[in-house]
Amino acid sequence: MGSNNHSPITELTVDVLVIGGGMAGFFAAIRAVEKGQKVVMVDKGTVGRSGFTPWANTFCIFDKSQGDSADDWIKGVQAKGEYLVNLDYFSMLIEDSLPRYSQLLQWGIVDTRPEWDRESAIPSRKYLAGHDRRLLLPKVLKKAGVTMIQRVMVTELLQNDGCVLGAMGFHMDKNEMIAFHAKATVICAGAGGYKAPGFPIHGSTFDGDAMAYRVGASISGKDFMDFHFTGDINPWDVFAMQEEVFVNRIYPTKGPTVNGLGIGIDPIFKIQAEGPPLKEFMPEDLAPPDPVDHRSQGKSLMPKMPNGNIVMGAATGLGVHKSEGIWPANKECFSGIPGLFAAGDALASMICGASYPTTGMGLAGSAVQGYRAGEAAAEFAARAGKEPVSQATLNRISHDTMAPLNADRGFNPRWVNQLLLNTMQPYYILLIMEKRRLESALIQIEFIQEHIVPRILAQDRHELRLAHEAKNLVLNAEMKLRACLFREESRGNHYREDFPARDDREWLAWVIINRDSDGKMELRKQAIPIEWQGDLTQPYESRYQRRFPNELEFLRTKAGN
Amino acid sequence: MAVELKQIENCIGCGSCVLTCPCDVFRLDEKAKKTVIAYPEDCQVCSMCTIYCPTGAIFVTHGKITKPITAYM
Ligand SMILES: Cc1cc2nc3c(=O)[nH]c(=O)nc-3n(C[C@H](O)[C@H](O)[C@H](O)COP(=O)(O)OP(=O)(O)OC[C@H]3O[C@@H](n4cnc5c(N)ncnc54)[C@H](O)[C@@H]3O)c2cc1C
Ligand code: SF4
Ligand code: SF4
Repeated sequence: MGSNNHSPITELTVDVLVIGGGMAGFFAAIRAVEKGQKVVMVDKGTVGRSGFTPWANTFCIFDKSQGDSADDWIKGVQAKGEYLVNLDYFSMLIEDSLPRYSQLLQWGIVDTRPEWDRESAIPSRKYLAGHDRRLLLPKVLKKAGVTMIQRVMVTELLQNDGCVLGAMGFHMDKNEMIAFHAKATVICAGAGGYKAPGFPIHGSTFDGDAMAYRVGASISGKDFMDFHFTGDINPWDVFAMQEEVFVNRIYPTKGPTVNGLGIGIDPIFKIQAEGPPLKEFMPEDLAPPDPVDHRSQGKSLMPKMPNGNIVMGAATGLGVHKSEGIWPANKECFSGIPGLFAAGDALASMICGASYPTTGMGLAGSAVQGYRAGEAAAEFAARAGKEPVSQATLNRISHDTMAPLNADRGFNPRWVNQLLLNTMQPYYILLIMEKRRLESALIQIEFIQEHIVPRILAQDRHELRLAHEAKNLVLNAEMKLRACLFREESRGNHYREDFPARDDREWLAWVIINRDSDGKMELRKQAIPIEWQGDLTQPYESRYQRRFPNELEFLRTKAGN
Repeated sequence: MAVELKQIENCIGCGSCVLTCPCDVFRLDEKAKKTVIAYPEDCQVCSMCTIYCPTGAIFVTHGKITKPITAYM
C-alpha cells in the first residue's frame, strides 16, 4: 500500500479464452478443444468449486423417447415466463439438453448410484470420493487438453479496433498481472448477488456483465428479480440446509411442463399483508414436482430444513436465472462485439423469461449454451487474425487494476458492500417496487458510483478482489434500478405497485442496456417477435394466471377512464 | 462463530481449503505448514471447506462474524 505496485505482466497467447469454470465454461472449453483450438480457462476461484455450479443438482432434459412434446414445453415456458421467453434459445435447450446430459453421464459427473439414504448416511468425504462432480469437472477438462489458470480474477477485456482480443486479470497469490491474448473470448462468469448471507454466492458479482458493458456490449434482463428460498439458521450451509444437494447426484428433471408456477415473488405479497411467517413457511408456488415423474424419482425437490424454517428472499439482487446478462446478437451466443461470446448465467438467453419456471433449467441451460458458444468461438478463432493489443494498453489496464492497492487512503471495499446491501436488499426496493423508492435508491447508487468507487482502497490482494467486485456490483445496481424504473408494468418477477398489471401493448419487450458514446447508461425496448407473444386473443385472466395485488382493480380503473 | 480451526493440530497444510473457499477466506502459512483463517469476516458460512478438508481440522458453526467496518481507511 502506498508504494507504486507495478505488477509484472505475463502474456499468454491462445485461440479461445474461456472466462469462468462453471457448467457453461466447462462445455465451452470442451467444445472449443474438440474443434482443434488451443484453449485456456481462467477462474477467480477453483474450477468446479466456484460460482453457482457446485450447488445445483438438477438438470432438465427434453427426452422425446419418454413422451416429451416440444409443443407442451414451449407452451409451458411461455406461460410461466409470461411471454418474454427467447424461443431460439429455448429450442436450443430442447435440442441439446439430452446430448449434454449423456456426456455428463459418460464422464461420471452425473452419477447413477442409488439415491443417498439420508436416514443412515452422513454426508462425508468418504461418500463423495470418486463420485464428486465438483472434482470431476477439472479432471475431465485436463484430460481433454484445456489449460486451467485458477485464482486469477479477470478485470477487463482487451479491445482494439472494435474487437475483443482477450482479457486481463490479476493473480490472487502472486504479484502478477496476466494478459490473455485470444482470438475469441467466451464469458462464462456467471451471475451475481449482493453478498447477503442467504445464498452461497458471495464470489459471484456480475463481473462478466460489467466487463462486457464496459466494452460496449448490450446487457438485458436486469428488470427481473430472483426470489429463492433459504433457511433461517446458517442459510445454505452444506449440512444445515441441503445435504442431499451437495452429496447427491444430479437429478434429471422434466422441464417447464411440471411444477407449480416456479420461483415467483408471490410469497412476498403474503408477507407484506400478514407479517413475516414464523413456522413451516411453504410458498404455494413451489409445488413439488409430479410424484410419478420418472425423472424426479418420486422425490420432492423441496429443501428439507433439519434445524430451521424455510424463508424466502435468499439471493438479494440476483436476477431470474438465465434471464440477466449479456444480450445475444444472434442464435449462437455472440455478443455483437467481434471476438466476444457468452454463455450460461452470463448470457441473457431469456430461456426463462420473466420468472424461473422450473428446476433444472439453470444447469441445463449453461451446459447447452456453453457448448454452442465454444463452437462459435472456435469457428471465429479459426478465421481471426487481429494484431494483439499494444503494450501501452496492457500497462494502462495493469495500472488501473492495481490502483486500489497503490492508494494511500481510501474507502473500505467491505463498507461499499454494506452500502450496497442496505440500499438494494430491502424488499420494498427491488421486489415490491415503486417509482420514488427506486429513484431514491438510484440516487444513492449514483453517489457511490461517482464518489466512492474511484477511491476504494485495498490493503492486500484479497481486498483487491473485493474492490473490483464492489465496482462491478455498483455498476450492476445502477443497471437494475434503471431497468426496473424503465419497465412501467408488472410481469413475472417484476412487480411495480404503481403499475400493478401486465401491459401487453407496451411491454411485450425486453429492456436492453448500453453504454452510450458519452459513457452514460442508455436503455431501450426490444420488441418480442410477434410469433413468440402467445395467444393475444386469450382473455387476460387466463393468459396470466398469477395475480398481483391490486392488479384487477387497476385494470378496471384504467378501462373506465 | 462462522469458520473456526478447532483442531489446528490436525492440519497438514495441504491447501485444499484455500482452493475450496468461494470467498477466499484462507491463506497457507508455508513455513508452519498450517492454514490460516485470514479473512473470517468474509466467510459465507457454507461449510464447503469442511467437505474438502482431508483431516477434519475445520469447523463451521452457526452465525457470521462481523468485524467493525471503518468506511475510510
Ligand atoms: C444454491 C444454488 C442452487 C441451485 N440449484 C439449481 C438446481 O438444482 N438446478 C439448476 O438447474 N440450477 C440450479 N442453480 C442455478 C445453477 O447453478 C446455475 O444456473 C448454473 O450453475 C450456472 O452455471 P455457469 O457456468 O453459467 O456459472 P457459474 O457456475 O456461476 O460459474 C461462473 C464461474 O466464473 C468464475 N468467475 C466469475 N467472475 C470471474 C472473474 N472476474 N474472473 C475469473 N473468473 C470469474 C467463477 O469463479 C465461477 O467459477 C442453483 C444455484 C444456486 C446458487
Ligand atoms: S464456510 Fe464456506 S465461506 Fe466459510 S470458510 Fe468455509 S468454504 Fe469459505
Ligand atoms: S484443508 Fe484441512 S488439512 Fe488442508 S490445509 Fe486446510 S485445514 Fe489444513
